[in-house]
Amino acid sequence: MKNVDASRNIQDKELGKYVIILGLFVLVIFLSIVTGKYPITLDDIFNIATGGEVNDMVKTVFYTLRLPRTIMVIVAGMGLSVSGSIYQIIFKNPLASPDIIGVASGANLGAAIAIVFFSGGTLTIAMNAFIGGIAAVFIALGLTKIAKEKGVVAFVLSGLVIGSIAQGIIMMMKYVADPEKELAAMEFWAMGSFASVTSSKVMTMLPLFFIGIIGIILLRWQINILSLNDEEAKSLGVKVESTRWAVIICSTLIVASIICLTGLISFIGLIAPHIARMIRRRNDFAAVILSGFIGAIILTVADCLVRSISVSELPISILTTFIGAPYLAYLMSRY
Amino acid sequence: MEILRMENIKAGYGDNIILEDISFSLREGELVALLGLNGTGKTTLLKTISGLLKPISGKCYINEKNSFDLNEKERARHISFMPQRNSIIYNTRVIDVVLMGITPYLGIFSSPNKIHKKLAYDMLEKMGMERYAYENFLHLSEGQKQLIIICRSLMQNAEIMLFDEPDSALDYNNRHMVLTRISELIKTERRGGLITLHDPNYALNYCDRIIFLEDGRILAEFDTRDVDNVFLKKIFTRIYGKIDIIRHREKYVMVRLNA
Repeated sequence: MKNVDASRNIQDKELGKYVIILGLFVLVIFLSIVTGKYPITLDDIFNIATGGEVNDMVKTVFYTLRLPRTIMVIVAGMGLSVSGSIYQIIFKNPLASPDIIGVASGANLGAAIAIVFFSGGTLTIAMNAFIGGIAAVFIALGLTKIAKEKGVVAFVLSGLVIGSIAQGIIMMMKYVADPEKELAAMEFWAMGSFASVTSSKVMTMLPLFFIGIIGIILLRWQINILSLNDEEAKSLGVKVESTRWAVIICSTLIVASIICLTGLISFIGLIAPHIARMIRRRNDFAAVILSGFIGAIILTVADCLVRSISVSELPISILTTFIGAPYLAYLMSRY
Repeated sequence: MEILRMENIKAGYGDNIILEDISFSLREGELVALLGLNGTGKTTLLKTISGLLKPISGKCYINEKNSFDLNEKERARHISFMPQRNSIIYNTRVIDVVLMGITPYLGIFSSPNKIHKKLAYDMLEKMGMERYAYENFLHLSEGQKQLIIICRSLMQNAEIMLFDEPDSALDYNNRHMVLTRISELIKTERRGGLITLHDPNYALNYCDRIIFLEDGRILAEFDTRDVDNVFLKKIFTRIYGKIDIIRHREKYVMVRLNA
């Protein structure tokens, strides 16, 4: 069993990397709580945690603003990265991202409808965006049924078709929308922001998010086999079609429950899985989990920056795009 | 003992009939070669047996049970399928590739445990590949990769092992090495092996029996031990054109004649 010992040795060495990532993760949580206009110190956090004396204002800011926002940013970073990893595996495409099957375009259309035709209140937008995202994916899944070749290409093409139709309708709505209010609201939604996150919204969406995550965790081994081509996976006893559907539905639940509150967040779901695979140096379920932590760290840092760079808050996708696009160029130079 | 029996199989894609009236059987501990030119239906036949392609008509029995009644999972416990080339594209440890073979024995929500890992290690030892257990599969040579995929097939513990041109991407030495391993394990593990090959010399060398396909039908079926030059020449000429059969140390070898 010499080789087993050798593998332990490697595992010990690798452990250090994960400890660092976990440390960073904890660090950015504190960073996110102390970042903002109203000052909250580490002492305050310690006092809140231990039930000590704190100023009421600090308490209010902590519970109504910083904590829900921090939780939402962590959840969003994790969820988008996990679902990006999963899609890169099951679509056998290292450039797949969570919106490959149309969830983002659908959510965007749902939000646009809420802005133009309904009150445009944040809760209405969130509900419509959620329904839009889920509906787009189901229509795309239905569309794969007419494909002659049932492989992953059918899914990518269906996602493209539904995404494009949604974008077309959005363009029509933008054309007729009131430029001052509606058009601006639509544009801002598509750039993403954590500014309007409240604890009640987070609590409503978290159960849906967790259902999706639990589904993904339960299906972890089947997802691994879906990285093979369909024939190879079938010959290993996997019900390829139904399993792929289940994975897509879980993943859609995760993404829709996030972006319905935050708007579109670009690049996180694409780059975090790559960084995770580079660190882990292999592609297993642990790499998926790792990508969740990395996505959470990157997105939290980005969110702290948008909160502090200028007087008014910047949309989050500006930051994630400036992090993500150069990273993509770096990947290009490697492969 | 007979473990696989095909009866009057007709199969194809849509209106395009590829195979017609295919009947044969496979016994324990024998390696059977499927020979034929491109497009004669060798791969289609393997896909039909492994359940990847539903036949238009005909029966297929595994240990006297109708195999078309089995679902994917049950079938994967009886039939393993080794593709021409594996489709692993991401970095994966060799042991994790072998572990994929345990999938038909897992529930949809479970993943392999320690016992399965030990089993995967044993399979690697069986193939003499245990020193690569924790290496990156993608960094191995094509020949080594094929041996690892054989280990994965062994994990399935299926009595019927199908191999679709497992030698097609291999160099001369690796080709002999992989085919030697396959023919050995079919004997020692008492499996039934069905292998498609392009080169008839490898079939003559490594297989117990040869089934010749021509235009989707069985042209000939014979034991490689009880044939003679005349018979082989007659059959092989029909498929391969101007050839001759020579005998070298108890074995027959096909050579191409110049026009």
